[in-house]
Amino acid sequence: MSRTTQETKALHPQSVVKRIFKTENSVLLFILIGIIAALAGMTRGVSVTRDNVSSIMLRSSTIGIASIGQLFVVLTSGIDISVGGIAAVSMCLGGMLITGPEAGVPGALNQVTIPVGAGVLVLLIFGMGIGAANGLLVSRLLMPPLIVTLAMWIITRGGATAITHGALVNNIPESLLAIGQGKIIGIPIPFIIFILVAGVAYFILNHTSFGKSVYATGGNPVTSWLSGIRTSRIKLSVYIISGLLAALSGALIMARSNVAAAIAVGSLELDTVAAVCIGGVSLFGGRGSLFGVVLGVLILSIISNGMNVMALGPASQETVRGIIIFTAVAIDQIRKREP
Amino acid sequence: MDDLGDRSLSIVKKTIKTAKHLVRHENAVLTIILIVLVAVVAVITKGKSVSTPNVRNVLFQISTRGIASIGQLLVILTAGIDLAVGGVATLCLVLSGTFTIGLYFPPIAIGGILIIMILIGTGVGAINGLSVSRLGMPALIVTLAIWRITYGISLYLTGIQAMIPVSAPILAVLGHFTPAVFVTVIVLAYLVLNYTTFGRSIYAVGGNPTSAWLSGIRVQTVVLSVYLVSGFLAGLSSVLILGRNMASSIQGAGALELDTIAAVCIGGVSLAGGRGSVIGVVLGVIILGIINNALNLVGVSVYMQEVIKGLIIIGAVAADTLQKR
Repeated sequence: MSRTTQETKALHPQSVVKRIFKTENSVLLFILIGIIAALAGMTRGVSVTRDNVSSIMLRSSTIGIASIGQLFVVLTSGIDISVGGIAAVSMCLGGMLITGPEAGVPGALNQVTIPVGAGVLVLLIFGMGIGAANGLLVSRLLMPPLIVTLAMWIITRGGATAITHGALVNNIPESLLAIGQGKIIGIPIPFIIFILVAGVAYFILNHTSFGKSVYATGGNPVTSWLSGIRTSRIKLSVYIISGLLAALSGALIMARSNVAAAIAVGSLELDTVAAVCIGGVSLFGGRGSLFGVVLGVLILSIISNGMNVMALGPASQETVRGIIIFTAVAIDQIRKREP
Repeated sequence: MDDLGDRSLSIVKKTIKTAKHLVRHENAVLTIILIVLVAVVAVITKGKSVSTPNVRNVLFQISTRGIASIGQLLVILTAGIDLAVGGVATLCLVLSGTFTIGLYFPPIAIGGILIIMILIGTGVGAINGLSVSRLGMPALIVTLAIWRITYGISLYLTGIQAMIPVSAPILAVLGHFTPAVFVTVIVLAYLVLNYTTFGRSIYAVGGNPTSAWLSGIRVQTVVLSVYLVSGFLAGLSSVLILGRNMASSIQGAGALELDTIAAVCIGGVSLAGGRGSVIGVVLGVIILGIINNALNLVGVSVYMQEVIKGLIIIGAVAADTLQKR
């Protein structure tokens, strides 16, 4: 009944505008357009040059891929702080295996060289493995996700630096660099991969029973369990997905920057949590859309890039990023209170 | 004769009962772990770990970390978490250097600066507490954001000056009293948590916020207060770090948030709130301090130390979760 009224109302142009304003994602879209316009004005057009746009795309692709994994986890009311660490440790392991003795890094791993494809495969599987460890600890032992992934972050970050002995692994093969730095019709390949991942994730979340179960598990785990959803298996899967996507993001960072090292990853965990928060995903689980997260990623990347273009130092960037996360969650919380 | 036999039998039974009770008691298990740890580390380092200078060193390290951990305990008892402690302590530490750089301050003024540092810590705690209690924002995200903000401001303030020496006799004196301050904080926290209405309210709020609210506890005020106290203690711990290092630097406070969470986890505090003791956290702080120190003495690389610290946290929480079943 209410649905029919809504649909009839939707025919009136006025209510269409109202509805657009009411949908979270359109608000985000307006914010995004506003930020682009404001930054273009402030940087006198530098921020919208072709070079800069493709650098924004590169930045958003690695953050975006990991953020999609974070979305899956947060939808089940979990959190994955370890994404940055997983990206770092998988990247360092893969980088060491691919480059072999050419890496110029001491240690036993130095002696092995494997083909690029196999190296990337090992790297992705390794990321999934760490994700599975997170998932098992959370779903079987019922440990708090925050602490499990926080500890895993410390372990993987330390592990990444230990693998490379604190050095930077250079000499990444041309074939990988071609993916990381290449373009197809002017669009960076990592960004195309990001869009592909987003498309697959959109399909999974909205058109498969697994996707619906992810939402249900986060919304109300008890009801979901009673209605036959294997909640612990769902929880395990989302952490594996997050681990896989974090590792993929790490591989792309390596392919883009020609460096495998823990510091190359930056604070991916913060960026992904920020993107998910800005995207209007509820941290209590069960509520949030893939489109919102993609918009969140774009907003975040454009702001970070704008700060770079305006030559703000890392200190100011760190502060601004914190303020953005804080504001996004505060707005979300205040909006939820209104009936 | 028979009577004597009966009596001795009952004494033996009682002793066994007490021993059983002790073993079941979490803190006793932690104490045993601690004693074994001290012994093992002493053997491995060939006695280096129990030499006077090293014990003194460990004592000062655990004191500053321990003070902040007590704050973390209060927050976690209400089912929250404070990731901002490291950022807050770093900000206070850096501000002290910024205030005093290139200036000569009489002791009283230094005292004023120390008080300002603690007040700033408390203020940031208030922001955390208000966001969590009034706006209902998730503690994790609020304190994560505040951590980045405070750390960012600290980076900004430090600029290129990595380390600013701050020298004043009052600081040196204060530095010597670090363990005494820690003990005072422990005693106060113990008394407050176990013998005051406020303390019982903290446990009640963490255990079941709804029933706590229904039974007349001002849940919002309690939640606000624990973040205030945590900010206050983070500020206090930064003052003591300043007193010990006699310098203000961005690394001075270290990864305080991780260390405090690790200590609380090892101490058997439930991260779901409502369960945990001051003694447990103190034991956790000491165990963590000794492990850190031992890894340093043995010469394990900083990276591997991180890996081990992470494994310890997971192990501690896993053991706790399994035990609860």
